[in-house]
Amino acid sequence: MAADMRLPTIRKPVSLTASAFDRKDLVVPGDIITSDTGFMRGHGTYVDEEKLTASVAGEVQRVDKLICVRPLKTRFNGEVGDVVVGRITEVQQKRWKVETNSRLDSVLLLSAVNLPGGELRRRSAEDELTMREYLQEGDLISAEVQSVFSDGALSLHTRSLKYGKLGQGVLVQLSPSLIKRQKTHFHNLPCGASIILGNNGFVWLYPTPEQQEEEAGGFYTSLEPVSLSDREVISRLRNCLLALAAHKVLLYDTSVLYCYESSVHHQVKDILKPEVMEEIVMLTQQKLLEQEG
Amino acid sequence: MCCVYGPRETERKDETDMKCGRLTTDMRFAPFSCPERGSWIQGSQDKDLSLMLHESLQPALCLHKYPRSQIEVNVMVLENSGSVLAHAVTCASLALADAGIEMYDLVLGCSIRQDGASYVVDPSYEEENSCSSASGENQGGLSVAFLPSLNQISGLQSDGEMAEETLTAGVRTCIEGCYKLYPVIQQALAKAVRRAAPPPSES
Repeated sequence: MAADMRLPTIRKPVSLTASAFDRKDLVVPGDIITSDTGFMRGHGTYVDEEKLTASVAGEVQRVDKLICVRPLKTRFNGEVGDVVVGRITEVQQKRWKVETNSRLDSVLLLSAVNLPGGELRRRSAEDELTMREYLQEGDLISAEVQSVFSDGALSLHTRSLKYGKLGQGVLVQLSPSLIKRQKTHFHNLPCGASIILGNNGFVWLYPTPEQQEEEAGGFYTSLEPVSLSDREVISRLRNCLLALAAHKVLLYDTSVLYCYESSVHHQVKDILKPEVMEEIVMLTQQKLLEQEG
Repeated sequence: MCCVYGPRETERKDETDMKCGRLTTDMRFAPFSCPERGSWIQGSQDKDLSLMLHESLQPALCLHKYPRSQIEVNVMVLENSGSVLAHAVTCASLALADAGIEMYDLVLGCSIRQDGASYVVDPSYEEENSCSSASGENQGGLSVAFLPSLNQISGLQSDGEMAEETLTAGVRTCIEGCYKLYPVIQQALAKAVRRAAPPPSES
């Protein structure tokens, strides 16, 4: 098995994004944004002796009278209705703690999951004791945000058949700001795999199930072996996602699909090389611009 | 090299503070960082410096915005060429700003070394540890952690023997040094933000 080794060299970063909108309003913590008291302060700012000062490093966004500073990277700030992919970290008395790349662990209450055997069953004490049989520490789930607690923790629910425990597949962890908000985050890509784009930056790739199973609200995971062609498709998709993320392209089903199509000529493992990444992302962006214009 | 983790859920649950977040700092020296090879096990100097780093950074962070969370700052010194605490403080506040954690202001560090009648700003390792055997008094070092926009000092560390006027003059010199450093740090952060900025939201 031949390994590919490279010496570190200085590479000129090819700016692929149209930086026509030059960001002149970049601030660092402690910078005074304005001394005008007519503005309302939003996230990322604080008032010190009537002077509006930035508290994070980022760009200033002004919407009428509201000024806020958007930092360059944040943890996931969930809102009601977001689809997230998370990992169970703890099993507590009547709930599970789920890690979703946010400031605090999210909470999945026992009353917010679909138990096998009917949805309207009352949760008994026995259910509490057998929680671990449904979801254990380390399991991956897909869920939707039901509400947000006052300190910022999210409350999740899996009350639909499309949410639940995830079976065989590949998880890609990216920044939450790269995922575009859309009507649906579950896509069956025509190249032969399915994708769940979690709003928290966790993207789950899995082989398309042959038949949509109607039984078992999401706790049944198939352990049948996945075929080699499916695995190749999923690996290629994963490398494409990493390439798009490295060049800060918004991720949604169309951009992922175009990137997949542009990368067909290269071998799966070549996609991770920097120059191949640039080429593929440039092609993808061209296609996206053509589609818009 | 400084790494910032968080804000994330507190690891030790019994110390969870409901109202504000916690800051944990850890400073280590790599064995190859000083002219004499050190050991991997933390000595008392590492613990002292970690505590001073904690003291200097804590007033600058808006911890009340992160209840029940924990922010970890780990500093690893790869090459110790003098005034290690001052550089660590500056580096840590840059890392915190890069991580998007809300702060009142950047913390900049500056240090001087007093040797008899002369003093050196930002001493190197040899200048720090050389002691001229001539004068017994007015010999020591001073490190100041300063918040430029708010004009406040968050940390002061001195060792040695210095007269009162030398101490106040030294503090003033350090503050001037921090003011000179501030524009450079601002530009560096702005450059990093421009390079790594997320794509514009389509809302």
